Amino acid sequence: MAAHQLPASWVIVGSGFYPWLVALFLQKTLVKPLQRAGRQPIRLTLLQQQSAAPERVITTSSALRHFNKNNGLSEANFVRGCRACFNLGTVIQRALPTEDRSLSGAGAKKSSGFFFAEGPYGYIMRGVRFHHLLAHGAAQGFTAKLDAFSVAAQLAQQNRFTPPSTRSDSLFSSLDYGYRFHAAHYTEYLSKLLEDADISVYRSGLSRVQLEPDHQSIAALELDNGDRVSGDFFIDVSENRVLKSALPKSDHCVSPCHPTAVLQTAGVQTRDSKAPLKPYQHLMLGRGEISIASTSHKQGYSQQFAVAASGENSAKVFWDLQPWQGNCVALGPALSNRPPIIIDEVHSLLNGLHELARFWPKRDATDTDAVSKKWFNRNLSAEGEQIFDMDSLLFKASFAHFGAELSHGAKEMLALFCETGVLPAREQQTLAESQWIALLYALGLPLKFDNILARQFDGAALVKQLTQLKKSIQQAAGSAPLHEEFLRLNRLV
Amino acid sequence: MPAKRVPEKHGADFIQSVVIVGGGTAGWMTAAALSELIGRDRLDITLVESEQIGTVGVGEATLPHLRHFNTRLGINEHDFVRQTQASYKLGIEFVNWGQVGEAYIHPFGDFSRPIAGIDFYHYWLRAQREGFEHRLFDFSLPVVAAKGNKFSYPSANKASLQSDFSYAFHIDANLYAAYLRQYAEARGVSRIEGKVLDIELNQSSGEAEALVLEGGWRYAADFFIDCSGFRSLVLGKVLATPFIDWSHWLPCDRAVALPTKNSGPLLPYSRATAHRAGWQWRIPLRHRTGHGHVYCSSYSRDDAALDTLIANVDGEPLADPRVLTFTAGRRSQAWVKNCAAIGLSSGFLEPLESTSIYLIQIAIMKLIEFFPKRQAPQQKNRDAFNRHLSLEYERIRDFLILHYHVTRRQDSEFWNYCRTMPIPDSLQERIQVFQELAHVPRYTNGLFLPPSWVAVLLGQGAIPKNFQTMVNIHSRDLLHKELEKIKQSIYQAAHSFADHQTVLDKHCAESPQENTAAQPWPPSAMSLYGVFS
Repeated sequence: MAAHQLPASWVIVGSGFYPWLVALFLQKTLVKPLQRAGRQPIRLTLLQQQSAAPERVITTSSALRHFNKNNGLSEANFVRGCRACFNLGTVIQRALPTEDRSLSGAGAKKSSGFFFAEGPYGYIMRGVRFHHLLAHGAAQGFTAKLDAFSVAAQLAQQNRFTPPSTRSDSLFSSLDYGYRFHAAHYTEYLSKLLEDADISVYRSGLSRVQLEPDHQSIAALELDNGDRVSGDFFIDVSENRVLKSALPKSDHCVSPCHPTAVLQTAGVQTRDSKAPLKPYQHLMLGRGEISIASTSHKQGYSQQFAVAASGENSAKVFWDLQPWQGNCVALGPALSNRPPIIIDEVHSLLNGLHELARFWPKRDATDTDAVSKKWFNRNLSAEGEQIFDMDSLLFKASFAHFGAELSHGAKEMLALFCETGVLPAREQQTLAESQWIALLYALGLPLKFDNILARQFDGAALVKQLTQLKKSIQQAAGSAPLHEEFLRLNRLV
Repeated sequence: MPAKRVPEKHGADFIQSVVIVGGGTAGWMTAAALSELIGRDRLDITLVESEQIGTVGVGEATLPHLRHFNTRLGINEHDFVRQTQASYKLGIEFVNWGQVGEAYIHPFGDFSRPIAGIDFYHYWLRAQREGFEHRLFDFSLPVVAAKGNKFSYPSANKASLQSDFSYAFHIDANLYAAYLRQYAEARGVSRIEGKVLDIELNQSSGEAEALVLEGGWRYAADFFIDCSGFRSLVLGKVLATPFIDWSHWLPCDRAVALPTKNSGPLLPYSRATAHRAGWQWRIPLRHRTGHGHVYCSSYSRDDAALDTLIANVDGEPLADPRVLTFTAGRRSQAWVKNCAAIGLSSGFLEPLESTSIYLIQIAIMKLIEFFPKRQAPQQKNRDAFNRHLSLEYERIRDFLILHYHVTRRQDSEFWNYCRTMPIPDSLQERIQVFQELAHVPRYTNGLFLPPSWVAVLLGQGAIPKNFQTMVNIHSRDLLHKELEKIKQSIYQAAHSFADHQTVLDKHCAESPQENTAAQPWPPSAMSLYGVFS
């Protein structure tokens, strides 16, 4: 196989930052390396659909940080360019149920927040997972929550921030984080970054998708301005799935959780500049809605997802099970529509792109291409299934009184975890085990497990050890600079 | 005799008594783990075995995971090596599998390191297509060390090439069982000598209540662990748990074993040599070498199999040959009602990849993770335990079938059958994606990860049609030069190790010491490919 078997001409279609992020990914992983090696170049065309830049704050996981780092993009330039701040995780708060202690919350009272972070919560002692130790400690009267043992949570609670330490014995060594920034700033940053790249950019609407005679692949795009864009391979990151919906059998979308349609409303406020810039976002579940509140430097942004019957303003929750069809792949908003909670839109798009890089398309349809498609589609579907299990839990916590049902996977996970404190045997692809556990804790479930190995630990001694650990984490967090101070000191604002 | 009285203990909601049916490796590993990890103040552990019934003595060749098990039990590694007549193991050499005259080592480590985020073997695939003459296996530190008869602990410096591998042991399984028996008895495990005649079941629940031994002795318990080997006394005979037969995929059904005196240097790897109707193991221990011929009785007579074995051993026999018969497969469930099967009583996969002790270890750890409670529904625990075990068994099964199926041998009916037999879909699609794209799908729950699949597939000549596109971007000369450099550095690193025998002698000469943080051996991990991962 030679490099020239790659499609020579790639067309990316979408709006906002999505097509630009795809272009950057391709530039870094395909175009540049081929150029450096003096190989036949790959041509990128970007069709920026005419749409108002979305007014919103994007909150990312560490996926973007790792992508930037692996591709040699300076974090300082990125933070400055996007006017970004740091994000250590999400405080999840629930409306407490009025009567029973089930997942569904509709009462007026709110739970105290649980901090969902990426790093570990506590650590394994003598082969026993930390949450089992905590449960044993709780049986002895120890009352701290699991997130008291997350360095990220403790930093966030004190409005502080520090990057991970390279010293393996430091409490900060396992820390990870993402960013918050305004979507429009990110689009601007990416387009500037690619200014000198040889990319043909069209800013226009799409009037027609011209298919190949066999109707299985895309031949060219006819634009509103009369231009015609042809290509060998097409990447659809449009919110209205303009390319994907032109292909046959493009309705392989599933919505394995209920409700299947949500109504999205959003609002932007100017942030009170006197209020501290928090290194986390806030998520409220219950009373028939999911609310996300995020702030970047100047703006506050709130977004609500509420249950709705299918109608004009509601959007179907879906995940495309066959994102790669013919010579077109759907990623980002064309792959799925779901609230950007825990797994955000940047994370999801990067996951899809990494998967694509594992199975790069070939110029001609071959058996190899068929195998690539099969595995690409399978892997992304498996990811979707897990994400829907996660969403299903969040939806249940928010929309229970509207008939929200758990997915099969979520039901199974809930049942086993509440009884045993162990997650079912499944392929962990998207969330680490510690994150699933944190999420289940955040939902305030009635956990009944009691691990026999944790009983090796003398109760009093364990409580003392846990108390000391909690104190050490708090103290370590207290030694970090305030979030805004860190940004200032490092000239990131 | 009246039912054994169980004293009320702390933590009364968990079961308070177990009876382990059968000793041997599985029985004593289970007893040792329960006694150390749960403890005598929480659990009464009784092991019933009979000296009249021999043990199979499975798993003379082990995987690196055993180090993790021993570490959890606080076992001093040097003492263990000394007591079990162990030698170190860096991998398994497979001879005559892809084709007669070919050989490769499946090592405990990956092939070199990824370059620009792409697994090293993709670069090698391109280079070999361009005429690069070195084998992929020249890029594995444990392979080069093993072939040079060298050994060292992996380095703690993660930046060093010498940190990229793991190691296991060749052990005398009977000595290991004896060692663990001593360990477990010192921690309060009661051993009962006796033959099990029957198991009494509760009339309404169908749960086991007591073991009945020869002479009328009766032992009641909350939970029963079946380590009775192939006889599967509890799960198989009494609870009639169906056996899922995989012999159409793994047709070998007999083995004849023969220990010999050592001959030649003590090698830090096992060997599996394929014959016309099966394969032969060679496992070097300090006090003897284990040999055995695993074969398919449909394609070889017993006397012919024995002749083949005798003709291919390299030392003076120490005992009469011992014949074993088996069927590849597993019980549909390993935990039924209040009984769990561990080891051969729950399933059998031939020892081609030294997985027997690993499967015992995983079952023990999962049983502890889902430890049963009294008077509480156990369905979720049982289902989760059974699901884990079936995943482990099925994934190992596929990996074993791979060895037989991906072959170019046409020299016997046996190999013609294996080469052309229908295989499980799960394996078929893994082979297909490798053949087309050189891609090995990674799974979370399962023993053998991509480095192992790559070793066997490429070791047996399954060269894929394609490789990662981006490895094409470098010029031929640049790539070949870079590979030469890597090969040299691996060779130098491996040859800086000491002679295997010298290392063993040194470790065995050291007196047992307290298990402290300052142990001379490296940490352990539940991984085949490294100790620091």
